[in-house]
Amino acid sequence: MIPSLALVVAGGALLACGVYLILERSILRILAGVILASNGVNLLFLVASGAAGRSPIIGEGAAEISDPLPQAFVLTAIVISLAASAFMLALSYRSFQLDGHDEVADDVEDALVRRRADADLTSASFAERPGVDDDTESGGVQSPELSPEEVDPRDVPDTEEPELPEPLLEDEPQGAIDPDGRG
Amino acid sequence: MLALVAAYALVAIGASMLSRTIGRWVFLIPAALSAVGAVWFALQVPAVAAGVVAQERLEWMPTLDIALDLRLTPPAWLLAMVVTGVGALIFAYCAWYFRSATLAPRTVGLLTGFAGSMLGLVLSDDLVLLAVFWELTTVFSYLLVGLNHHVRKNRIAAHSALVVTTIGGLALLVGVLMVGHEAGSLSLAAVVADAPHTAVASVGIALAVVGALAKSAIVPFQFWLPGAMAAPTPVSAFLHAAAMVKAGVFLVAVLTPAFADLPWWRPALLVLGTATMLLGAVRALRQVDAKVLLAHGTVSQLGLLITILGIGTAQAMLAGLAMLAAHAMFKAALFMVVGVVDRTYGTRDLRRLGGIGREHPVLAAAAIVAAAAMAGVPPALAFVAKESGLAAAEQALHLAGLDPGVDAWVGVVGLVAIAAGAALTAAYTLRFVVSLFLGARRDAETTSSPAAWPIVAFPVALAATGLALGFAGDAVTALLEPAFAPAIAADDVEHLALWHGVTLPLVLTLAALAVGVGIWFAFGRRLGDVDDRDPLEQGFRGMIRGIDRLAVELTGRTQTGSLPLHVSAILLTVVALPGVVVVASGAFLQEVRVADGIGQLAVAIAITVAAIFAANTRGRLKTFMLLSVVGYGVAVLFLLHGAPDLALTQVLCETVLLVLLVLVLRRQPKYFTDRPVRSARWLRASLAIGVGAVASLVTVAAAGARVAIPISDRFYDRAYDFGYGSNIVNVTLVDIRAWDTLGEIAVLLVAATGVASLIFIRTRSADPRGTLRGDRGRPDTGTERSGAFLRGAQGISAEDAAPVLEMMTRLIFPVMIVVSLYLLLVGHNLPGGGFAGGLVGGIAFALRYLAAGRDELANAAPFDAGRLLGVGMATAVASMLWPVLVGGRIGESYRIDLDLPILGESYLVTTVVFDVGVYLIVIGAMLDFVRSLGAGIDVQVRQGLAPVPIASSDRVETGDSR
Repeated sequence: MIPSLALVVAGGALLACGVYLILERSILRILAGVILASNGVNLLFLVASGAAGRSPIIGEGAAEISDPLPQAFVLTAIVISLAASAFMLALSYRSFQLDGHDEVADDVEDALVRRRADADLTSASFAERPGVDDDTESGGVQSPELSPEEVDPRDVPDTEEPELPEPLLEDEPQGAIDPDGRG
Repeated sequence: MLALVAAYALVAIGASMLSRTIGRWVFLIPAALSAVGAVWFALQVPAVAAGVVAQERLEWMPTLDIALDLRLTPPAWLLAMVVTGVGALIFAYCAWYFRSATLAPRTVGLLTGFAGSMLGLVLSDDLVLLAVFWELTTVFSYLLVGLNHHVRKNRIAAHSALVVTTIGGLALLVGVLMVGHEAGSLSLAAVVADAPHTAVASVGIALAVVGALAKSAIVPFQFWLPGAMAAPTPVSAFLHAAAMVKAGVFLVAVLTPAFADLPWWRPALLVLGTATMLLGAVRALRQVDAKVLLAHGTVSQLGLLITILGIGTAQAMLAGLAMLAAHAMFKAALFMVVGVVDRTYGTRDLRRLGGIGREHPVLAAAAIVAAAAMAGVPPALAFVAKESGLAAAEQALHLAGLDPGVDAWVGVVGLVAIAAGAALTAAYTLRFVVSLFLGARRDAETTSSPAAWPIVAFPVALAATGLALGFAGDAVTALLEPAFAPAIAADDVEHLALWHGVTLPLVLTLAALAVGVGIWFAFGRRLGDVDDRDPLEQGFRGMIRGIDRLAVELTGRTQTGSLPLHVSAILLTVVALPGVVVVASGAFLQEVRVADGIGQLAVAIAITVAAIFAANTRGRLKTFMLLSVVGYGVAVLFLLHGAPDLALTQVLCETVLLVLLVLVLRRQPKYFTDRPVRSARWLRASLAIGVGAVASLVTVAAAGARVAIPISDRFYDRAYDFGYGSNIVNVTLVDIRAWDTLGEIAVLLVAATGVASLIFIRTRSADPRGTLRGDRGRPDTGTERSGAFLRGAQGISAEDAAPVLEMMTRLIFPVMIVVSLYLLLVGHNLPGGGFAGGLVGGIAFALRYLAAGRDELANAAPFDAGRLLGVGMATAVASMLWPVLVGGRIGESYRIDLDLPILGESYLVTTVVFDVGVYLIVIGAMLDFVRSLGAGIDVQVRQGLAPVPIASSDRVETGDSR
């Protein structure tokens, strides 16, 4: 099977432009990158389907038609790309509505985990705290005099775990854009 | 037996549902079921004693040799009697123990589900089935320990129990699979009858034993059991004394005849059993919580059971199984007593109790009878069994030298350990009885409330049974004989009996009791504070903490939280690994041709240029206009390649995307921010070029690497023979690869719902005709316009209206709908199909919106798009499933010949129904897109919630979002 260089190069170029845009932080530019990349990959699928031929419709001749299977794959891909694009458009709109921009900021949770690692702490859900109630004998429903808020262990002052070092998020790009684009 | 296990499952579900209505009395349902089960098993006594093994088998996964295979062997019968008999009493006890007000509906379900799983576990002959039930009991135990999960301590206890027993369960599963592989059968009976003696089998058995020891709380896993006392007392009585913790003992007992001669078997079990027995007893001697004291006692008794079984002779098996039954009865009775004390006095703290015997004589009598059994005082069954265990150890002394597997030290260790354990047991039993029931009340404020008589009757019944069975030694021996007969020295087994004359075991027992009294007098009476730290438990906690710390470090060091960095890492891997391979192999050095035609070459150049410009422009609209050029160009390439379906779909999708883009971009700034800095830009560009180059090279290499005939070559004939269609691509989508398409429309459905939920944060369309309409009679601006071409456009002011577009829409909309239906119906034979048809239909609706706004869209589609999505999905799924009802396969297609009056002879392929489902989902998704990004944003603009672009800036003013 001899591939067509025009399709290979065009597909690769579209993919490269797509990747360039995907490495951005603006949701809409990422969307543009996804669209370009998916178009590029679809073209590369055409290469894999062999030489151009007649439409894969019965009556055109088994030897003359182009390969129908990659076409079915690509048709699926086109429609899914549209659905994903619509979703990213909505995401972008919502981001503008909430933050005034559509840049994907660094993940705040990751920053918190990194700070815990720096301070040699366990994860937030692990930290052992003393229990507040020794009730083991009810059938699984709290005794009425204790409301869930009262026994929520997170409300119990924590004796074992040191405070996280201040300053908390002042130097973090929370929602803001950082100038060199790599957090 | 299968029916009984299934009945437990059904009762578990049914009783949970009834729990809210009838409160604590709901426990009488599983109690009745357990009683029926106990009677049934009791009726099997003659058969079991005669050596008849009842078997029920239901095929499950025949190709893997896994079946629902239950066998009623003597050990299984014994455990089944415990589960159903003791279980019946405990369930009934629950009805008086729990209070309806604090009873969660799941409690009864979990406890019943546990009983069913435990029954399945002991009856299973299939090793995989056994492992499944094993894990089920673990899960139920976890949920029951954490029943009151509002308390952190309980959660930690439940977590420890789950982790420890699950590690054991995994070891067991791997172990039984290894053994099953070596034995060539997954049947427990077959494995035991013809034991494989390979190294792999030995490792497999060792893993299974590790699982058993973890489940039965043997050192080094023993710490989870005292913690599990966080469960309510009936749960502790059932799971953590009578039944679940016996699963490991049971497994060891069943494996003993076949594997006791493995070199590690006797040393490992004897040492670990003894260590557990002594550790548990010593710790029990210091406790001040009556329930925790019993829990450590249980650990000790489990160690005793493993020690006895570890001797590995027929006599030891008899003693071990009898002790297992005896322990189930006296320990369950003692837990019930503690439960009653807890309920009537409001505490289990020995320091605040004392002298209960005067207020509750019957309860005290039951407790003392059961406690005497625990200490091994005659004439209880426990005494008889312990005697038998000592006799087994003594016999091992005589067997040494005669049997290669048994050394003299086995007997010595057995005798010393069991006697020492008995002394310590007597000591902590005295501590329990004396400080709870005798003497004076240590805290005057502790007062008693009366106890209902049934709740006292159940421990009395259990204690009495344990006592009475002590006189039935011969019967019990006869019943268990088939179980221990295959083990060594089966001919010399001494029957269970109260009196064998003055023998070494009797002397040791009496001496142990005397020493026990002394130990209690010296160490067991002090009721001080306890330092209850268990080094093994600390180690386990430390390990869990270490894993958590490792996770935090690993996450903190590798997860930077920067999306571009993470994507770069993935793409760098793509370039580094497949890229290096493809370049190094030279596989890309293929013969290529420049292009399939001059048209292809021209379009390819055009879209490449457009893509490069699109990647470098800062204007939002400009970027997407260039993208449209690329998209339509790709459609042309599809067409030139001989893919009309693709070209059609691509053109339609590009059009839709353009509309959606314009709808969203109207609220966004004109330019992208001019970032990132130059150096980062070059890095990104080189990575991008690398990825593009690697993908191209791999594609070329793959094209040259094809050696087989493409699978699609056969589609040409099959499409018509099986799919009854001429358009091979469409037949592929709706028939040959219909599962793919089903997944794809599911993605569409989810994406559409996601878009809608991002815009209408609360509800998609509580009132599709209301919320998205302009306010009737109060046009956006100005007065109502007369002479509109579309009804929905009447609310639009003259300066905002587009009369030409309105008129065009009026004319073109019906035509587009007809075209979309045409595409849907001819798709099977000509380019078209559900996707193309749906997209045309969707564009028609979008046109109505574009021409005259959201009122017109609501007029055109006066229903919830979500319903359309649901109906479409239901149609597609039903069209795939219905052939099963007529005996076909899922997704099979049929041809129905029609003779229509006017159109003449025609035929219908059933897969068109599937395509209709696709069509409906595409239209539904399109409606959701337009309604959300169009009409939804319109409404938010009116409400002042939408972002407003700031002129000559890359920012917007955020909507005043609420």
